[in-house]
Amino acid sequence: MEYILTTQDLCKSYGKADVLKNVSLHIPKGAIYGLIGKNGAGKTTIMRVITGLQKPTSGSYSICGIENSDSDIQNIRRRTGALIESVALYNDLTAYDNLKVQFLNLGLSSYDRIDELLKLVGLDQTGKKRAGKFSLGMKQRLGIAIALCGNPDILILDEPINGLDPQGIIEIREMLLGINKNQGTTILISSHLLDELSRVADNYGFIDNGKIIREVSKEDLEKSLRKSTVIKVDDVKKTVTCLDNKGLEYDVGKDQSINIYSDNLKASALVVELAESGIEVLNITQQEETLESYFMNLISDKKGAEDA
Amino acid sequence: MLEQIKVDLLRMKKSKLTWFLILAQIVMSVLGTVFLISDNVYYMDPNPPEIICLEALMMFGMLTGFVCAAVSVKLTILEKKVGILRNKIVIGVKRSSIFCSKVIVNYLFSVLLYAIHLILVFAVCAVENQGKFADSETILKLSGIYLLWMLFFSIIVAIISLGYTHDVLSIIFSFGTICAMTLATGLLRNRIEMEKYKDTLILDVMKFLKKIDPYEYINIENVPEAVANAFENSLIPALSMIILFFVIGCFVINRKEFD
Repeated sequence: MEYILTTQDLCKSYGKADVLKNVSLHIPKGAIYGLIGKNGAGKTTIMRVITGLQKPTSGSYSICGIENSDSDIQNIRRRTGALIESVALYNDLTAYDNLKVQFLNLGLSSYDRIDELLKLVGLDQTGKKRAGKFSLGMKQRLGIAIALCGNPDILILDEPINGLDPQGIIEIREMLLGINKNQGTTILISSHLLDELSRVADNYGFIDNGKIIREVSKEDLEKSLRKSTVIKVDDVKKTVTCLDNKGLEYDVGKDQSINIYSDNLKASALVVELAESGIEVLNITQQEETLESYFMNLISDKKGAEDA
Repeated sequence: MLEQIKVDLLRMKKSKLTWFLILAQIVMSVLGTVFLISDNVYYMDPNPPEIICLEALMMFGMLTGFVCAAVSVKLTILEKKVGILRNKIVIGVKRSSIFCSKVIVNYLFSVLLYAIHLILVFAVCAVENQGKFADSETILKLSGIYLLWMLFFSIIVAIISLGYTHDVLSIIFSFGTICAMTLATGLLRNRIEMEKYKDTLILDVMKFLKKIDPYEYINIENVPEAVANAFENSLIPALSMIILFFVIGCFVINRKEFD
């Protein structure tokens, strides 16, 4: 597999605080790579380091095969676009002028693509309205347009859907999928809105406490996501005893629903068995483990291993 | 780096503050020169018209440097605050290019304001000062001294506004540094407690600063001679300081990590 961005044992410390600990990432070319982690896990720091805003304490990274120690890295950065943390805009300039500034930064003499980019992000009708008067969603889209000015091979987006309303989230999602599909741009995206991330990403990196705990493709993830049968019953205690006797793995939710993890469980047979034990099944559904629960399990497994 | 200069020029062109300051410079130059000429008429022993012209030039020459420094600090801090500098670094713009362009554009703005001041002083003198000006050599040398000072200001301001993280403290540090250096030269000029610093590094530094302070050489009673003296004495030390601080600036900014 061809990787467009990799990191090798990347470490970053601020004083005595180790924020990144031997981070090794592998981002395939053409992928939408979701970086998943809690707040403060190190997602933004990884992005800051690979975009050159900050220097790694140790370790290395390479973009398009060029190592960070190579003098060519500055030229390669022209093939990247990034939106780190807040959107950086000149609030007193129009959307067009903001893009013009970025075109100048990139040394591009022709401004022909500005209208095309504004259309792509749906800001072609903003005219002389200044960016400071844009809604948050519009600002985010303009930020992405700025990141796209250099027609980048890789787009690095840090929490691009934070604070957006549902409509804004859908617009950004559709836009990113379009950019990835139509232009072949690799996208590294971080978010803690895991449900949303699961709709766009095809590769995932899970980070916790400055360490990458797993990298997985969407296909492999789907294979490893556990299926569960969720039941609501009139007597939880009795049901739990019954499930223990059958040797089934389960957990009891806060709403007293019971998640039973088994790929081969037949719902009809379970209902009959419980009924024979005098338990009334009020509701039964089947569901797949979500990205969120997968992530939470990963973290708790890691914590368990460390405690042990 | 040319791209960065274009960006910063565009930025200045689009800033209302820039146009406000140009307007303020025009008003101050005209009114100041008119006031100086009128005021001189009432003295029993007025200065010759040629000297009035130079006095008018001197009156706002240094102020222009401070004003430009204020604009540079404001725009740079704003860029840093909203993350514009991040946009530049992530696409491979070198930190030293950002620093150089800030210095150059601020300096160009200083030169522009000074040129406006110069033209207006000439225009007012042509109308109100019997059409008499100082000799061109003196004017060029005086302008040269100011332009060296302004370049020095631009470098100091760019280092502090780019290198320091805190917004308000950046402004305080910028002006504090410039004022401290001006005051240091003033102290030396007045020879206050010079003995106290004898054979110390402070005295060496102050002596060095003294050489690039135009007021040290400019005696209002004999301006042309003082200007010529100042120019000859200050050229090499001033250029040395400018190069030294420019190198320090590049070094500091290249190591700066941006949030």
